[in-house]
Amino acid sequence: MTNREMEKLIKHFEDKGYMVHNFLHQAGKIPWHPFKDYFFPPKQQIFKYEKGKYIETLDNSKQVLLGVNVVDLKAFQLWDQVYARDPYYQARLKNTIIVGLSSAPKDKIAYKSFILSFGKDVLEHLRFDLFLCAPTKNNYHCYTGSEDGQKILDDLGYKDYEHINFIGPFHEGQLDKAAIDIREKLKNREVKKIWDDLGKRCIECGRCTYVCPCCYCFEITDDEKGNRYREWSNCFQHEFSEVAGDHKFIHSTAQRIFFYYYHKFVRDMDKYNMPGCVGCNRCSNACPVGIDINKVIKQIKES
Amino acid sequence: MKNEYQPKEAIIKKAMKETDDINTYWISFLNKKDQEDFWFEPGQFVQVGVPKLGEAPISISSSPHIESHFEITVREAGRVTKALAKMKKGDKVFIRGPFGKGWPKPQLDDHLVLVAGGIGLPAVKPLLDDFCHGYLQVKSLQTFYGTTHFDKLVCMRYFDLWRKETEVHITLDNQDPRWKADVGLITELIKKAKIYKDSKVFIIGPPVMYKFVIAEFLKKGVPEKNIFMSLERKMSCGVGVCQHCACGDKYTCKDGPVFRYDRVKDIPDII
Ligand SMILES: Cc1cc2nc3c(=O)[nH]c(=O)nc-3n(C[C@H](O)[C@H](O)[C@H](O)COP(=O)(O)OP(=O)(O)OC[C@H]3O[C@@H](n4cnc5c(N)ncnc54)[C@H](O)[C@@H]3O)c2cc1C
Ligand code: SF4
Ligand code: SF4
Ligand code: SF4
Ligand code: FES
Repeated sequence: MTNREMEKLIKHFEDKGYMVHNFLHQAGKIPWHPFKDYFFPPKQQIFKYEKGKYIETLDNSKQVLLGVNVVDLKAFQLWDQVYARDPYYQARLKNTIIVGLSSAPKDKIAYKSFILSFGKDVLEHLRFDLFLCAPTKNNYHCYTGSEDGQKILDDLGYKDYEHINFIGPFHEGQLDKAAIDIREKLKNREVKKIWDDLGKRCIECGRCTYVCPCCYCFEITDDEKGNRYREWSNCFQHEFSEVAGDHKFIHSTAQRIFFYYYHKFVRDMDKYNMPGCVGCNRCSNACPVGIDINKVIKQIKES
Repeated sequence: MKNEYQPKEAIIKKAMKETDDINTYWISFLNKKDQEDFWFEPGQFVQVGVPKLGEAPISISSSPHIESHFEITVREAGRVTKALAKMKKGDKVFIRGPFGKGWPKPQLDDHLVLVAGGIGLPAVKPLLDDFCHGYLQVKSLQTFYGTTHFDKLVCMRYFDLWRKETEVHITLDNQDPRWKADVGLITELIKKAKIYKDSKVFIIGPPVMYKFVIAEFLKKGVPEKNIFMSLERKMSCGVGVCQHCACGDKYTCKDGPVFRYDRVKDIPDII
């Protein structure tokens, strides 16, 4: 697909009423900002009470995410499970066209981190509508991953694409060996020293949660006008576990950072068969005191 | 798709004062079908919503066999519960739920022991009600209920019936001239009582109570797997997603609030 054709594609989306978020310039990089906002805004209205009645407020606006890297596409697989029965997330999903992007050709896409590594057939295991590969100066190689994606290209009269059949979210075996190992370590031992040390360094700023593409927790809040919202929360906030009467169930920084790891590598693994971490490293880059998830995981593995 | 966050409108049919800061409400759904469809198990809870303020998780305190309404007993603790305290018959509330796993269903050959501290009593009341009205059949039923002061006793209007039909021990931490029954900690009552070794024990109360009460039953020879406790945690979603109620690998709202002791006792800070 040439640049000219790309412009046509963007115009096509806009004509159909889509808001196009363009990340094509980020090919080959993991941007600092995760994509979760587009499905789960930091503060999202879920309904309102008007004259004492419930009124639904689903966001059905249409959007295109143009240029999502494979690591963040992987993170969507967690969200798809966590919010499988959530009408608000599903409404965003239904109205979102996802266009993946990689600077490498299909068979050369590679990503390796402490938690997951992608093999050759990575695209077969990701959910997207369109996927663009190897953008040289003026050329994208185009794949479709859904009927919606095929229809868009057909409408445009663009024929030079290949369809990829989604064969399920998981690579057989490989992803999960590393994750299972970490889970068992965390489950069987608390490895107290690791958390005590981190607890002394962490300043509970919560940045590692805002930038994490797999952090999805929230709090339900109401305002004085009768609107109900769902707002991002994070497990470093002291109110996170606080009940009436100022009683907290999580008391120390060490417990909070343990909770972060335990959620990602035990609870999410147990429930969704994948960890709440895709190894993007955003948290390490964001941490003002230099807590690096690679090192923490190494310590857990060696414990 | 069913929206788990969508509350249903309901009306307070009756509001009764229990103590200076605790009230009981009979609630029924505005829509008849919602009321007919509302089925729950003793030990489950609902999210009670007050527009502009929020929601509070509250245990259902009536028998599931009552079809016309359900009952909750609420202590004033913060914003939502204070607003509820001002509400009267005819006022509207918004209900989500029922949520969670309640008490395991008692069996015919169970010796059942209920232990409640403070505002925990309403969460076992459905079982007492069902027992007194013949819906619940067990080999024996013993109840231990303790609270701080005479003025903090809840469900007093049922005491006579319960005492008549079952073995009920009620104790106050502090003496009071109006009180003729036991005085002292609930653990003392348990110590003195004859408890079957194969009893099933259901416990609910303030956080400080669990360790001590459980220790008494273990001393009496009750196995860990026969001890069930209902836990309190901060809650928001009620459906196992928001993370606020998480404890180790469990979600209190979904895997609990009732847990079997041996299955969770190794989770740090669980009780
Ligand atoms: C499973 C369960 C059953 C309960 N049953 C009863 C009952 O039968 N009767 C009763 O009086 N109380 C019960 N509670 C406690 C009751 O939920 C709290 O007192 C109530 O949520 C306080 O809300 P608030 O808005 O008045 O207080 P605020 O302090 O203003 O609360 C702010 C928010 O924090 C959360 N929160 C605060 N305290 C608690 C808490 N203890 N548990 C969970 N979330 C909390 C709520 O989401 C609330 O919206 C129960 C709690 C749980 C978890
Ligand atoms: S590396 Fe850090 S930011 Fe990235 S997914 Fe894992 S926990 Fe989240
Ligand atoms: S790790 Fe903490 S901030 Fe992230 S989703 Fe879990 S509870 Fe929320
Ligand atoms: S970014 Fe670093 S300092 Fe801030 S909460 Fe996370 S681990 Fe703690
Ligand atoms: S209340 Fe949200 S996970 Fe339990």
